[in-house]
Amino acid sequence: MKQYALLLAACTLGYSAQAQIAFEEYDLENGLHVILHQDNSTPIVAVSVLYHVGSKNEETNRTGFAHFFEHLLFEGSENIGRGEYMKLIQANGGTLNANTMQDRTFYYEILPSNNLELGLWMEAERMLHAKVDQTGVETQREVVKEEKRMRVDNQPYGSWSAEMFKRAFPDHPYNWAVIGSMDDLNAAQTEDYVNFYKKYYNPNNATLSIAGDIDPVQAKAWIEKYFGTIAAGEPVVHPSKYASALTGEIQDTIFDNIQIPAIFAGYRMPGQADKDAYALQMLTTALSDGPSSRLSKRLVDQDQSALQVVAFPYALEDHGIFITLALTNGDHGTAEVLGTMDEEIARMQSELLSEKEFEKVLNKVEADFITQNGSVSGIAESLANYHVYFGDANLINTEIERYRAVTREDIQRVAQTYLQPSNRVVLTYLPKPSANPSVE
Amino acid sequence: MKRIILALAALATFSASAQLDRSIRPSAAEPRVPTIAPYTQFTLKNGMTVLVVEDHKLPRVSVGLSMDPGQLYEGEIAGVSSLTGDLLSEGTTLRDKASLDEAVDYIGARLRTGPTGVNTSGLSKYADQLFSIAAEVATKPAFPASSFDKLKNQFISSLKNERDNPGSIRGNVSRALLYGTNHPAGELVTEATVNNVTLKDCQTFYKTYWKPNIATLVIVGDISVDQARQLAETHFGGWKGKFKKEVTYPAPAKQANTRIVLVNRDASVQSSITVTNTMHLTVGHPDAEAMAVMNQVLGAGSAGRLFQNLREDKAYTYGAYSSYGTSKYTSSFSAEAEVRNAVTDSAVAEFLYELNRIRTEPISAEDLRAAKNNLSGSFGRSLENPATVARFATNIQEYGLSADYYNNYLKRLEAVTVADVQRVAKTYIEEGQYLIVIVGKALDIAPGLQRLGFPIEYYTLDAEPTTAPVAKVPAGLTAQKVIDAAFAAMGGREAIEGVETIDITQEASLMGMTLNFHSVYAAPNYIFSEQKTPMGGSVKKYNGQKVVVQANGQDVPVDEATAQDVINDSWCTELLLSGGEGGNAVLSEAPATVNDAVCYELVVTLGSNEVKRYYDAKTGLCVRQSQVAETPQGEQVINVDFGDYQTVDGVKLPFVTTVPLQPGMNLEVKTTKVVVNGEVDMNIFN
Repeated sequence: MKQYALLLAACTLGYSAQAQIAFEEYDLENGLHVILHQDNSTPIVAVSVLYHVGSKNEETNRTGFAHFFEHLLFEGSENIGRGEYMKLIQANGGTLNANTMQDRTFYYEILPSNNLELGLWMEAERMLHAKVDQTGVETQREVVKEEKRMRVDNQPYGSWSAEMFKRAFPDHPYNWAVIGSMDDLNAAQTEDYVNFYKKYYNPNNATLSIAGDIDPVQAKAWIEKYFGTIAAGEPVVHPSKYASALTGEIQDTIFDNIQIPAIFAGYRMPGQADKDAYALQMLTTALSDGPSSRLSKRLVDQDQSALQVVAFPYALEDHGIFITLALTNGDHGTAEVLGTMDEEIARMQSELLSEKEFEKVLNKVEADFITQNGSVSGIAESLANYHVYFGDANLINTEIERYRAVTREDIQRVAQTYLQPSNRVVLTYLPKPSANPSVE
Repeated sequence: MKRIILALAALATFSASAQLDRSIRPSAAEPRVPTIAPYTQFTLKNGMTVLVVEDHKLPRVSVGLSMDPGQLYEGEIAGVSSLTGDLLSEGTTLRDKASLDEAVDYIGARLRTGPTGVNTSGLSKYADQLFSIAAEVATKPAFPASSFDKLKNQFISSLKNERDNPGSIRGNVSRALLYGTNHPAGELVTEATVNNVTLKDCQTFYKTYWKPNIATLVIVGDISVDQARQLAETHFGGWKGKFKKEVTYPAPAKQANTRIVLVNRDASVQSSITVTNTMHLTVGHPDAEAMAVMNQVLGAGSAGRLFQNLREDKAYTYGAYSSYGTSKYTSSFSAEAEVRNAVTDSAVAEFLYELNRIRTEPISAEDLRAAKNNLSGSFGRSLENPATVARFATNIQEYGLSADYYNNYLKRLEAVTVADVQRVAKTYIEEGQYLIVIVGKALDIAPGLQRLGFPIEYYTLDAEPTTAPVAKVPAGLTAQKVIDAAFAAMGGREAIEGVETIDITQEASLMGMTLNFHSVYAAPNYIFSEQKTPMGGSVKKYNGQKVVVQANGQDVPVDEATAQDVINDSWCTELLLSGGEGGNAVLSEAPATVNDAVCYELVVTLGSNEVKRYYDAKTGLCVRQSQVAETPQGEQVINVDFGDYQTVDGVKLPFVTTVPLQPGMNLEVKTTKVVVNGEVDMNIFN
């Protein structure tokens, strides 16, 4: 037994030193934060701009606007014609995309490294003088509606996150979904576009993160050339982080176009930079990462009441939701499955993880951390996220220390603190009663 | 001129920026040609091929074993391969599932098993464990009976889940119809076939196909070739056995003609569309690069024509793409999108237009250049991932390609011409032989699709032929509710019951002649109706007791049927009837379509006549009255349509009535004046 313990200790020590992600960062005079990571092994470069604006910055009668605006910023600029933006990058051997979340809007290109200057010029065009005409607005509005139909309306369980956040955050802008309301998008006026751009698309609200095959001296010169003369805007004022606590369990049933009933239980949790977020992350690892995790073993293998069970922290900047979800298996009902998940959570609250299980969790977290930086685009994005959300880009190398600082007691404590029924929303997804064809 | 919504140049620049001319687009610097990392290949004595790609960037390694037994047809026990794959991670003869899971999770590794392969990955310091776990799972599976039942139930549950996913449905039905369900590429796994599978079937499957002589072990990551060789020998060297017979299957038959296959999904708010045909292109085929360029121009990404047309121009979809398979076996070309119901037929038409265009018109030199750059860029990016080199190595072995095949890829790509692109488009996109599979709300989309002129066939989720869905009116709807809704739509029962008289003046134009109509109605059921035409006039009247019909001022004899017709006259019967009229009205089970609007149908018996009335499901208003009449051409359905409803003194009345004169010829009668509750000389009804 003693020998065994020693062996385990050896396992958690002495990982081969992870390759450090070297980077440099600085601010331009206009407040644009620049992060550069050089890796010349493949002749490609990722150019990304993170604007610190997301759906949480929207007016309540313009929900969905940040994401809609992201679509519009592919329309063109003073020097890039309508429809040219996407073609230009690709015709030069690059790929591009963007995404909008509650807290940010993120644009990126991955280019052959000899086209770095093109990428910088194009992102500067987008930041400085984007141009959108009525045709673009009308077209993209319809495209966004199709996106919503595809991802939400026509997708089994597609509405779960919107339904969850709506209930979990009655008085914080996380209340509404990033895709937003189509009526709000229909109602948008010219001044909405102008104001949004003016308010949020400024160098002082942006992080330019570049990773890959670059010559840093040359890259800096180009960055100064294209971004240095863009005027700073007013400092961005983010909405209040305040969100009143849930005062009791919220339960609801959603009837969806599904065959298999499912249960989604979400517990309010702090934002991603909070110390407790790390303990909660490790708690989800213990609960559902890997086949030997507690929920998988109990519900999928032992009771066979669930087809699949997942726990993960949906951690955002201001707050988060600790999500647990399960698809039921066979004749097992959602109430039974929720009851079993509750039992497993109660066990987390009443007993410490064993030393061995705790080591397993830490090993998993470390393995994921060490192997995560496999692509320059991923590195560029992580650096920008760490800078914006945590105020420390170097967490790309050191964040693991925060996990290592978590104790078994911490995991038990966060389970007790946050995973309480009075702090959760439970959504039961059931098949719509009648699937008869009907017209109305 | 397009209205510019956003153009903020002047607001947002320093004056100093005048120095920089931003209209000058940066040109590319000297390119660096991507290099393909080397790999090492060797064979163990048992026939297993080993490929090693060293990559020391991150301290991780993956070990993947896969068999290549050719195509597998599972027939009555379809699903046996998946179940076998799942069973492999359910424990070995050395340890049960819980211990195996614990061992994998403890080192932070991942284990995945499939029908003909297993993969482990994790930190390179655990390379030995990663090899040993992969080998143990692959060569010493336990096949526990308890797990078998569990997996079967889970499998059936997950099949159920797929039945609500439009993408899965489309994939299943198009595979089944393209290749045929009696072909390995087209057979479907169903609840029934999964139920047929026994544990013994899984063991037999494993024993037949998991053999070293058809296995390739691919090792990628932070490991030396020497260590990989030693670990491969240690863990797989003792694995014995030989797979002998590969079964070959004939290529599936081509579609004779383009056809539309509609799979009904009532809940759909989008149609999931694929336009597809079978094709055959092996890896390494001389057409490979030209095909890649063609597909790039047509629809591989957001710069493609399909995306640009269906999304950026028409806004039908979030994305439209084309793709094709390269394989030893028959694969397929397909163009796909999810579009809202209302534009389903238009989207199919645009697909057909773009497919035709790429086949018949040479692409521009600019398109060719852009597509080549796009592909070479994508090739360069793919090399960032060491697994790409492993894939190249596997292909070189599997397809017998020359060792420098991928090193010469960019050269071959550069050599593709405009003519090559058109030639491969014509070869692999088979106009006139498309299978068009659409998963969507059939009742909404079928009428539009019919206009495309292709036969429409209905199929079930299981790819069985079926009949078109029949619409039903909503549960709980009654004739009385339809009538109530009509009253409400016309201004409310109170307003309508308050109507004592109506005086209507109408006119119509027929072959240059103007026809004038004047009708007066008074409660309870008095009617006066006069027609004046250049050819003469007629009058019909009813004073509650007697029907009088006059032509050119002369009374004409009136039989009982004619009298009834006069009493039943037109929409005003509807208007002036109150409450009890629902009594003999019967609501038809199926809704009807009148002038593109979904309507509820009421069958009303008036005396000896049966009349059908149609109420718009959205507005509630009566839009048609239809009746069978004897004509010189035999029995004919006479449809009188009511439209352009306008409100007069609180009552909504149709201002256009369309009356058929003869087949293909309608008379449109327009109301020019209406007086509600005006003074009426009651003598006109006598």
